[in-house]
Amino acid sequence: MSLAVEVRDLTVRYGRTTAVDRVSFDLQPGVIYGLLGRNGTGKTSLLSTIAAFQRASGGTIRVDGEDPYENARVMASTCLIREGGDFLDEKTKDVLRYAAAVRPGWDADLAARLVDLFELPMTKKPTQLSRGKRSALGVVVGLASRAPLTMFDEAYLGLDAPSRYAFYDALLEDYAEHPRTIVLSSHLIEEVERLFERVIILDAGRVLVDEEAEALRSRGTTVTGPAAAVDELTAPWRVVARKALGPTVQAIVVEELPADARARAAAAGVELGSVPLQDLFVHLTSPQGTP
Amino acid sequence: MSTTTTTTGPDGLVRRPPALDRHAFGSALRWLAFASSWVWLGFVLFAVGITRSNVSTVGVTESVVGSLSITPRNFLFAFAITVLAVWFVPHVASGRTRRALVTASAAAVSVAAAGYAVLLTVAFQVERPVYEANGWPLVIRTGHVFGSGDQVGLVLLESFVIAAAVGFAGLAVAAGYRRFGGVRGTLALAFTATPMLAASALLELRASAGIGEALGVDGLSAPVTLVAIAALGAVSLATAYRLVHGAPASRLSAAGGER
Repeated sequence: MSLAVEVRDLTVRYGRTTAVDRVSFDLQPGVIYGLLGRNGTGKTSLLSTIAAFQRASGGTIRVDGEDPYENARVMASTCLIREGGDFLDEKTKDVLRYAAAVRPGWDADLAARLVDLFELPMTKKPTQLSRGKRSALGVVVGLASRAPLTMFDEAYLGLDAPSRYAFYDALLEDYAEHPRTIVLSSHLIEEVERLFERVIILDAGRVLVDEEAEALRSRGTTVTGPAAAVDELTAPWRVVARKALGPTVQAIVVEELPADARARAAAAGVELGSVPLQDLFVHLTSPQGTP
Repeated sequence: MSTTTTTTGPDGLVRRPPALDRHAFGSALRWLAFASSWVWLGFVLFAVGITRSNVSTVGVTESVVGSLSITPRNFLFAFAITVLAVWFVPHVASGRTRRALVTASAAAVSVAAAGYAVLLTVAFQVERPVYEANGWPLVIRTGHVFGSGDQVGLVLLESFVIAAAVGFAGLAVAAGYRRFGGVRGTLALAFTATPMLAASALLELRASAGIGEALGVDGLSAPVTLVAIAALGAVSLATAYRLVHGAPASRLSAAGGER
């Protein structure tokens, strides 16, 4: 119950502004993707176009081999939850009843569990809910729909930290039982990176990175130890971040250090570690960053 | 447990969408019925109030149902706009096509138009014995293809055709706003609202010796008039389908579009 997506030379323009610029990538079925990018890099435009919320200005999208725009079969199998939700302004119980009626894969038991988990008030309308509860409603609809292609466009940012972690756990648990293609767009990279199997980073409307999450993480190295030893060890590479705490320094290089460098580090009492995805993201999308 | 109107395969993927999205149809029809109930309650109250007022002042000189007969369909026009405008984003976000919403909305508008036609016909039938008992002249001065409320078939047919045409025009107007946003959607009224205005004008001007004669619609026969109005309704519906096809599922803004 998963859908593959093929995007080729996709362009989305709004008047003279190009939001998505000749983007190409594939989404493999049954994989959780992280879609990252700074504000205004085209994430929402990209997801909205895949979900047939809007038309592409150029290029092609194939979802399960077909153009999704006004395609009843593909659209019914796709669920995009945007921040704030796109619900009728009816009571929460009616919004969920409606979703149950129109979503072929709807799981009422899962929806009920999530409603309890997020303590959703069933008699209030979305416009009467707090931002957090409205986000929770989006999460309930997004997960319980069990759409073969499910996309969350920063839909859970309004949740408080415990609720966000409850969402991550619920997503992973349900994904394990019902694998499907999931795309999570988020700015909370540190929180969600454990969910990602692959990561796509957009920058200025273009795909900057499209890699396995593990491969991306191994791209960088943190080098921690006495300042002189760290500076000597990292001299051959460009240091993208450097923090000093007394005599100890932590430097980040976007390189996987070769064996001889690792040996020298061990001898010098310098610790090597992986770089958090967020730090890599910040580097890669900074004006000086390079993929 | 899931309730669905679509046919799914063993892999959970949708195989065959329904010809009529009955959830969208049901939602639209419920809203139209609710909103219209207030219109028809107002219709009754105004008919009684105006008649009582006329009796005690200038006297009753024409059919009050005839005088009020144009008002309900104008409300149907407004309600049809709200159906498409309000349901559009939640509908698409629920994974259903734009054309399915227009089809469901058009079906609901057609049912509502039939209801309006029946209610107007009943109103004429209720009015007749009251007027006859009081000796009031049962004259209809508004534009219709029928000359008397007695012509039940013609009253039903005309009321249905014009109400449906006006309702479809409401869908076209809403589709224009969805497609183009606030400013350009208003400019698009030049072609989204024209069929409705033309249909209403046709009914009025066919009995007009002045402008009607000048436009060549003076004395137009009832069948030709009804066919022309139906054709204008079809143009509105086709316009709604055409415009909604390219409409983005974005929250409405004055300029339209979404980043």
